[in-house]
Amino acid sequence: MTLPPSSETDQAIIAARATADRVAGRTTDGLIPLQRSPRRGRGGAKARALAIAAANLTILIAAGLFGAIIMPLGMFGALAVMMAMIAVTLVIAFAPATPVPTPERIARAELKALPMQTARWLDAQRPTLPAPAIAMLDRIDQRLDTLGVQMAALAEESPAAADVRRLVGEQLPDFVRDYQRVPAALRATPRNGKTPDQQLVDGLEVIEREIGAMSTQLAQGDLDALATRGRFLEIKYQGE
Amino acid sequence: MATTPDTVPNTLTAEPALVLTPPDPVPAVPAERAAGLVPVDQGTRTELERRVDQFVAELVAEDANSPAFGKRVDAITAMGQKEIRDAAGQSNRFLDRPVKAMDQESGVGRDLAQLRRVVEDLDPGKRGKLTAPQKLFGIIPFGNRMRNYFDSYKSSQTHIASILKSLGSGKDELLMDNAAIDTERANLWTAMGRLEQMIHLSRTMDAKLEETANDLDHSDPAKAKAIRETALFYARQRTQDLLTQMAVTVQGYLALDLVKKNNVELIKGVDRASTTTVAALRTAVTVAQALTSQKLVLDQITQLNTTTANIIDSTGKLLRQNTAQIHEQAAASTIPLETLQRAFQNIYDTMDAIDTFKLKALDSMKSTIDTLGNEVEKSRGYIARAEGASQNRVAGPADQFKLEAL
Repeated sequence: MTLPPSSETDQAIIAARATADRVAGRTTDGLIPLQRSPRRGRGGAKARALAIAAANLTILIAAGLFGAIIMPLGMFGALAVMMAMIAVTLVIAFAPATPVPTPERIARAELKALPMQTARWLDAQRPTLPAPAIAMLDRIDQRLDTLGVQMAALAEESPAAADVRRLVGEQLPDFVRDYQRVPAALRATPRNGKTPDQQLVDGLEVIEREIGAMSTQLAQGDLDALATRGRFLEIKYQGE
Repeated sequence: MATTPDTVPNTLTAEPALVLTPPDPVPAVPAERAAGLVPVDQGTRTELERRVDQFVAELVAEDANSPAFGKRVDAITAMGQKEIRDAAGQSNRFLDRPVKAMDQESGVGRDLAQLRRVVEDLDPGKRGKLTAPQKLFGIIPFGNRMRNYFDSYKSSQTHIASILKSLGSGKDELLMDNAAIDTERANLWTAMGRLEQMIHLSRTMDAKLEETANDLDHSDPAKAKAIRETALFYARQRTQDLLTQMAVTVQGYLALDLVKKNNVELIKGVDRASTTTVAALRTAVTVAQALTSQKLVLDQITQLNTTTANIIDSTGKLLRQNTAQIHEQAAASTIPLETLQRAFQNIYDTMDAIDTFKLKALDSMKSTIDTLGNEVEKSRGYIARAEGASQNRVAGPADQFKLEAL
């Protein structure tokens, strides 16, 4: 996909191909693609169809149990069940999709929600990024998952929190947006020895490594606590 | 002290004097002597040297004015910044521990002060003449002084038991502190190993660059000049930074050992304070039986005997031996009260030893903190330089010629 798409049709084909790749899990580098799917929010048609089917099945089972155990449903009962099924179907089908957070909103987001929001924003950028970057995004995605769990225990004012906010909340979205601003036609053209595509992948790699380093840094305290308590047990009960 | 044991013969209950040795203060470690304390194995050395050779060869191959040359020089500037940053992050915590250890008002110090107060209340030497008959208004004979005295044990036993219990948990805290110090020292050891590698790398780089510049003097003087003014200059600067950080880290490492030794001595003191207290109470039980033929039942203390003996296993044996002797003596001798006073004297001796130790240890600790504080302060400038270099990192992509420890 190095050639710039010439028409809307081409773009649609590229997008479709990328989607097919992702659905097939081809570019995910052995990662579990399922992990990412909830990020899309209430958006995907497939997710909606599944939700509709599940909801209707639940109503049917509940109605069946009610009719069998408590009292027969009767004609109005059957009508009520039908109405309920239609209502649920319509509500799920037409519920507004969760909006993808903008970088501005990410920058203002609460610290605990920050990695998750960035991950969702990144997810939405996938179609506009070149294939090699997608593999990088998957790795970043995983890192952000880990970081999100760690963030829960981090105070908003701590210096580590500021570091995370700067990298995940500002530098990462800014970097990707800088790339997106480069006209598509120029993205594959080498400049000073490197194409913007390559620069994007390199930069994402640095970011990925740095998020990993932050996770390690944050885990340091817990690792130390574990080692200390183990050592304490040794000193106290085994006499050195 | 409360009692003057001049008249008291040196009975079997006198325990060997408790000697707590305060550790010596940690001296300042000069930067030039900091390297070489942590061994770097030969395989790693060879690998680092190979990297330097490759790096310098690639540097020489570039045009002295090209951005690629500049990039490699930047790599020298950034050399070891990660290691310095890691070690510096830990050195910020160095000072916490000695400062915390000096805190008198918490934990073990407070418990010991409390114990001393309770023990002083029970001291037979402070109760006047216990054998004299007690008189109401100084005239009418009423009650029994001795009996009253031993009754006071019953009311203090809960208090003593709780103090001994909190001394036990205070001891656990000290042990925990030492465990934490062990972890920290293990981390520091790793950090020092990496610093050591970087020092070796940057020294090799220095020598290699110098040699290369000398070689180039005839064939390509411009490049030789560029190498001397940029690459070699930065390599030397980095060596200095690394050595300074190494000195601080080594010093912190030694200071942690000081705190640990301090804790170990304090634990000994706490053990002994608990032992002597329990011993005195046991003596009191025996003496009470001999003098007033009343059975002094100290439930809390009896329970403690088992638990305390576990806490203080090392001294527990001593305690068990002594108890038999005390019992014999109290029953047989004509001076059971002196035996009891001797037991109290043991507690006082222990507490005095702890106090003296604490005063001396405080001195060591203070001078260590001062030296360490100075060194940390001095190294701040270097760390700031390393930090400054690391700020630019996310901006550029990773280089394949990153200079890092293995």
